[in-house]
Amino acid sequence: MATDNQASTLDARPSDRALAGVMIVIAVGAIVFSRDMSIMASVFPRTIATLLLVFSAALLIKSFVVHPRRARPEPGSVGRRLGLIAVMLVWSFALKWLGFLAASLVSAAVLAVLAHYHAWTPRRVGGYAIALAVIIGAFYTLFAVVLNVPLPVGLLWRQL
Amino acid sequence: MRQTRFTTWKLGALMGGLLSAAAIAGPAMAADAGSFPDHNIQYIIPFGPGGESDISARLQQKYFQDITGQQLIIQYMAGGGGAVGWSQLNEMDGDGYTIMGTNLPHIILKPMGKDPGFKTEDLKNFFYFHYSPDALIVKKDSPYKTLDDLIAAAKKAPGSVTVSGSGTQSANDIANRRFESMADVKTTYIPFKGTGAAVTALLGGQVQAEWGYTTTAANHKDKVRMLAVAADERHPLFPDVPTFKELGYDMTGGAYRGMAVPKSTPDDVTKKLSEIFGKINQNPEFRQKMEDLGFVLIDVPYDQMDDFMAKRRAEYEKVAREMGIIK
Amino acid sequence: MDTLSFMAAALSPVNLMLAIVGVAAGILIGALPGLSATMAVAVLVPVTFGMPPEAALIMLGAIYTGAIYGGSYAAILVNTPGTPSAIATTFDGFPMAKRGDGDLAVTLSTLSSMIGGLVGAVALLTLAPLLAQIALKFGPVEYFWLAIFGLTLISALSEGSTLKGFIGAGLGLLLSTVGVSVIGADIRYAFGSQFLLGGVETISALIGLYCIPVLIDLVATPSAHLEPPEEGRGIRFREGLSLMWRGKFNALRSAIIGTAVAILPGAGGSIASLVSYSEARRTSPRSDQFGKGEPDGVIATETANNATVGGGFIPTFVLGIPGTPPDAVILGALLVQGFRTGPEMFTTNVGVTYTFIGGLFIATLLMLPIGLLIGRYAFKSIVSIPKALLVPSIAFMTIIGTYAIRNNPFDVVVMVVLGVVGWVLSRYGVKPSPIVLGLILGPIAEQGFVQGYLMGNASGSVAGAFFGRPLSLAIIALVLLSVLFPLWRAWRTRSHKETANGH
Repeated sequence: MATDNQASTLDARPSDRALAGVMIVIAVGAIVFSRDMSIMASVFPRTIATLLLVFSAALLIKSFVVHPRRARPEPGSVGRRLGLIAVMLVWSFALKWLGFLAASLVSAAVLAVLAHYHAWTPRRVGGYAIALAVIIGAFYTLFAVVLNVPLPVGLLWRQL
Repeated sequence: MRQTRFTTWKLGALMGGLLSAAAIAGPAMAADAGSFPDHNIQYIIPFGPGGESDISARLQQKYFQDITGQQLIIQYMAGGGGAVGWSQLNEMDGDGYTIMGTNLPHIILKPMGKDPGFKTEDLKNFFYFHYSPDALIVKKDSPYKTLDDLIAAAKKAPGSVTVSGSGTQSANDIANRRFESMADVKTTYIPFKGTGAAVTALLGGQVQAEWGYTTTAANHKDKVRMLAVAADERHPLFPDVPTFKELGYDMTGGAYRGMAVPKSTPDDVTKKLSEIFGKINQNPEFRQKMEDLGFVLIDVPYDQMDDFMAKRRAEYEKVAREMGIIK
Repeated sequence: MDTLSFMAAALSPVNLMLAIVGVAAGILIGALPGLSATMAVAVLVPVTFGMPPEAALIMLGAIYTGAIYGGSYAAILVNTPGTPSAIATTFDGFPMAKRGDGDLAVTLSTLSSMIGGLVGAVALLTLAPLLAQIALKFGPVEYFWLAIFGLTLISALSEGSTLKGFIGAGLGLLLSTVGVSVIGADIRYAFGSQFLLGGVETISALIGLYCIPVLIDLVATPSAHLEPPEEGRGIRFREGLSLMWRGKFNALRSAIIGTAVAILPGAGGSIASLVSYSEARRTSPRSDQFGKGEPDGVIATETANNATVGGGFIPTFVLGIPGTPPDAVILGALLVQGFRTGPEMFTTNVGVTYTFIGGLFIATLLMLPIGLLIGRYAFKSIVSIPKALLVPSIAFMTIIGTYAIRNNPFDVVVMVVLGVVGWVLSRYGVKPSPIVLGLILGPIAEQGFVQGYLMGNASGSVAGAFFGRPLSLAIIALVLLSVLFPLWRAWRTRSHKETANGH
């Protein structure tokens, strides 16, 4: 919104084209997969998909005609970011199989390692481990025991 | 030295996690019909909180505790109009400590169309305890004073009478279709998301009538009245409202509610559950509270369940064919 | 007077304690990202079953109002909305925190929430029956146009490219169709998965789209999350008060918008705060500061979302139709207690009703001291927590908070996946707000459209149904205004730029 100076923006043409391309695929897919719906139920998805198609096409055309720029995303460690994404995905899938407590304890530990940039002293390690265990334990008790929310128990353990 | 302690800590936490998981899974595995139930039972409602399934379940809760001494813990698993819950029922522990609410016509109609993730036969129902009879509801100041008024208006201009209801291929939708074929009229059914929205549309004058239940009318007694009720007898709360039968239309039905267990639950435990809920249904206080809300109590225990479901299935199949649900 | 004596009953020791405990609990729950107000009310309802109706109502109302306010803590300090109604608070709250004004933002949020809550409660007390009747006039067609209006707000809210804003909205609208359709009972885009049958749960998508990208960027750098404040600055109460005074029209207008939106059944704090934010931005002399840490932005959103608490009770009590999602839960709790809504609430049960309203006033007023106390603590602790603890804790809370909404582990998967997708998209210029707006407004727009079409068909004229009703026409006018205004503004800026740069 404020005027960016040249160094902090990137040429958005390739990324806009990629974005438009992906959206066009999604819009077309939405229309294709709406073929087995009744008329009433397919009106809305088809209209929206068509609009999406139009907007994405406009974006595509704009990337050829104008020279759009986008803000430079914050730099940072790619590895850690991917690591966090991987951990979160595994965590969400593991809930059903490992159960809530096991999945959370392990994932939280890995995330703590990912987020830490300074040295690991044994005192720090112990302190963080206790803090995380307390937080996880407290919430688990609150939800599962006090409020009777059925947190996943872990199908893996049941089969043992 | 410190390093070992850290590892021990993490290991300890992990072990703690495993142990508590096992501890929770453990008692679930031991099921003994004699002392059943010896701890709390989970009652899962496959809808969101605040609906009729929730309210009737919470009324059962109190009497369950009186009879068994254990708590009935209500949880929600909303989604897909109940399909999300029903499709996951048989993955749950079959020890009798997990039960799920089921509804008619949903569990029969849904599998007839596109695959909702479960089949009607998958659900092991053990007790059906009430139904809310279909009712054709109008605003207090509506020009339709009797059912015949509405039929006359519909005959004069087919499709011009608008009726709201909750959902498509739901109890309300079916009630409307059956009515249309019996009275030989054509109306325009407008589906809404839930009974609440359907009532709002009626109250706001957006539609001329609503297919709801006696419970809806009981809830909004001051603003609406019913033209007819799809029950065998007049409802005690509404002695002035005729039944469809009285007016010449053989129509009874509504939204039925009951409970089911996962298929793997042993028969003796299932029978015990059926007995317990049967007892709750006999409790005069419970009956009074339910009737005050507009429900009509029925008793369909485990051994009569197959007959009951077969009869309902036959009813719905006919309508489903007309509606094009079954190709 | 009778009314006053009933309201005074709210000051009884038991009720007062319930209000205090409720507000504090609500604030804590709302402040934690991933735990929403609806969830808080839903899991705590069973606790109220042993209580008399007015006590239950006071406690639930206090929790509700505290949670809506508490959501701003996470929004301001961590850029993740604690509850959906705090989404718009992230727009200016977090930039304020980043430049060191986090404590001021929290103070502003506290004052604003209190004022908004009071306006909503006053409306409930004095105007309930009248406003409820107005709410009934809104039918499917009006809701459809309102949804369109909401979607055009995207053009006002988009940072940067309006086109990308619309693309994001389109994506959100498509996502909202996954699952079983209301009209037609078709199973849409489920690809045979019994999990997708349940559709994309709105709150889990919100949590994913807002919280996951924040986490991803938190791990990426070692720099501290927020600047610690200069020593001895306190909570900047006086500064906050003067900013509130400067923004008094903004606050009042936003509170009214919040109340108005809440009266419409089904619309809640998230929509209310977005509408009042864009209105505040449109009319402010400092409109280009919005999004960069403009205090008026925080004032607008926090007054609006707390006004929805009182406002939402209006249709709930008068019509028996819930005004906002937490109201649906509270209504269910009342019905189980045998407590009928409708005119009975103002006749036979008038004592309970006014005691509750008194309790709501008290809870709202209590937000000021309790909020400032907790807020000061929250600010100090968030600023000093090391990232290695912050990241796993927030991640954990998003997981448990998402799961607890529907007890569905798949919702957690959706949350994470959408979060990652949202992060990628935001690097390409598509921000999460339009996607979220599309997700929330999709069902409203679709149902409004199809129902309106059916109604129009029955009365002979579809066009008449959509364009012939006075209320709809008024909303259509708003739509046109919100579409044309930014275009006009962009044209004006461009012509200024041209004179300035001599292109």
